[in-house]
Amino acid sequence: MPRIECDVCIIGGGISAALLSQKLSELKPGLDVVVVEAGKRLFDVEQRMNYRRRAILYGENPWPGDWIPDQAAEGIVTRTMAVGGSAMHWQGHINRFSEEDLRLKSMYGLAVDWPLSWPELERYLCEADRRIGVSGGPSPHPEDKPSRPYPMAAMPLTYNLIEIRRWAERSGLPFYGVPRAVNTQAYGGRPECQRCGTCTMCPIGARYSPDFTYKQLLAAKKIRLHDQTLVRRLIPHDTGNTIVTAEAVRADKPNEKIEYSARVFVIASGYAWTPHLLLLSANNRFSNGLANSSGLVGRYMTGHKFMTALIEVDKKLYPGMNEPHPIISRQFFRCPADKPFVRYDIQIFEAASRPRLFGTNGDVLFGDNLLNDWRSRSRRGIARVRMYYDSHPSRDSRLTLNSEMRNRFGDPMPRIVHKLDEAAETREDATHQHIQNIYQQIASANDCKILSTNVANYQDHPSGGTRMGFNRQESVCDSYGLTHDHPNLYVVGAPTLPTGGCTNATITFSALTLRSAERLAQSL
Amino acid sequence: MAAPVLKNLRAQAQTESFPGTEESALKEIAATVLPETLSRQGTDKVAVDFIRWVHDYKQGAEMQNGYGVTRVRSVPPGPAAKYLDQLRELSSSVLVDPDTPRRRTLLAERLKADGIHDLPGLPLTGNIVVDLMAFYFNSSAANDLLYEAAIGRDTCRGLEHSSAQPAPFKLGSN
Repeated sequence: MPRIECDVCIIGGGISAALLSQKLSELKPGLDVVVVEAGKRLFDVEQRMNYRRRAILYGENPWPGDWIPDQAAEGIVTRTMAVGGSAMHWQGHINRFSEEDLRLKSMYGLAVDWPLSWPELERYLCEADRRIGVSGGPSPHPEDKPSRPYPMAAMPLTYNLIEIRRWAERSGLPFYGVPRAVNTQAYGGRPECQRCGTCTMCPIGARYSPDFTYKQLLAAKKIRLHDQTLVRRLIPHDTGNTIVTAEAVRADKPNEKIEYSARVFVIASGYAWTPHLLLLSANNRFSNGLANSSGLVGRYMTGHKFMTALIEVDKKLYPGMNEPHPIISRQFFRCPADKPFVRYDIQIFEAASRPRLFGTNGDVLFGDNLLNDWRSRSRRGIARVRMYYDSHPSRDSRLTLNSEMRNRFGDPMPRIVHKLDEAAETREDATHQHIQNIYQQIASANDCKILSTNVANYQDHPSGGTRMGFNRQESVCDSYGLTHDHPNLYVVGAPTLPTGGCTNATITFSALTLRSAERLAQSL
Repeated sequence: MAAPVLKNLRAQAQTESFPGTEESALKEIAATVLPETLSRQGTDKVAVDFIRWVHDYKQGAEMQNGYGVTRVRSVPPGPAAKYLDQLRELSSSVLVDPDTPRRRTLLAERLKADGIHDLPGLPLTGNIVVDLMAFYFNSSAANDLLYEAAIGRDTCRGLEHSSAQPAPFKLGSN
């Protein structure tokens, strides 16, 4: 059986693993770091313009081969399994959480507090901004001000967004451009944005994706990257609690087991596959899975719910100028402690009406008739107004092993069922009403119609499953991701979040990962 | 095993030779269902672009898997053979009548009879009329025509000037 020895074995090759291995290589030069990723490497930036073209014309996957046929889950999950993970095709929205997210229990009596302070997290947010490459401008709220300025000037607002901001601010709410992991100048060996309007498949690498970090680390021989290698089990010591090996299998040699032996193991496999691996690693001594003396592995699966409205804008807009770039208001990010709890961000995107084949009278439309019908619905602009709202998970919000769905090796795959806690469930109607009132406030301020509203039936930006906390009774790991049960096993990234906040989470769990890197380096 | 191979080879040959002798029929359909504003020259160009789209079609290619969607989908089988059959049939029926409104009435009846409910986001229905319309009306060019502005939605335009109102659009300029 092939045996690979290293100092640090990182399981999972997404953005958390990229930032962790980059920082470890700086803090401890010469450290032998191996990143093991089940998916393949997509180091093909030169092909991406063509992939993008075909995605537009044919709906083809612009990240071909970024999934594994039998490695899937039931519930909300991205199929992406590749070096770089979901951050290969994110939009790069860099919205920060706030102090309220870390102090929900002490400020509002809700959910739990995070086991670190806001100033402690904030310094790592700035570091994550620098490493990822963030472009952003000042928020109107002084509490949002980063302690270090963003490394790049903000993405300019398009003509559409300037008009939409003017329109939205008539409601009395302040807006500004969302900070982005998109280059507004050459940065980090990647070029300036060319405004292709397809950030999820950025064809030039102006939007950060972890493949660039991996390529740099590999070129400098700072890490080893074993892709297409699925870790199936972690094996603890026969009598102690340290993790001794990770058992894996390569895609091209499915019958040959590989063993990774390391001083430290880090699971950086995202919110689905991190708790999954811990549960899958159950044995006689750890019958509920590893790191699970609390019984909380796979529990408190979180994220945030959201509402979306399409609202008329009393101005002609020109959809297609830069659709992925929104403006944001954080007016309702900070709920006064003496008021009913409601927290959400407001992100507004340009939107467009679609051509339709049937007119209002049921006639099929052709030619100029179709064009004129479409034009009549496009004289006024449309804004897509989306609120991510703070909604906390129940203990029974779970990832479990699904024995009815197995991969080729017979391993049960994850089943994810999100469930809100009682307080969050109880305030759902009030939250929706609050948001609906804001839709009305924006529309009324402009004498415009709300065209539609929708409450999503799933949680966006999923996280949790191995939450961090103050003690082993209420959490799986400490604030550095070190599991309470195993002295050489860390978890990093999205699964460590106790609550999912009310805005995009990537920069927050990236910051936590960078903080973990320091503790991990000190321990070696 | 020979049958699927032969079937694939035939499908490939049909894709490469599309639209065979039916190019003029395709252009007639384009002139019937696409905006008159484009002029005949403009609708002919869309028809030629559509032919290129058919030639470059990769049946079975994996499709975007989408966030939160665990089902993996593939691009449907190549439509060339279906399209050719439909063009031949349309040549001997709808297109016999040179009058555009009457052609449209006949096409509308067929679309309703075929259970077509809307214009899809991608031209993958296998119905050449709907697919040709979807191909054009979802394009960056149609977006420019709609808003009468040179937005260039699908092009990479740089950040400079993005805060300015797009320049007026002139037909034939893209």
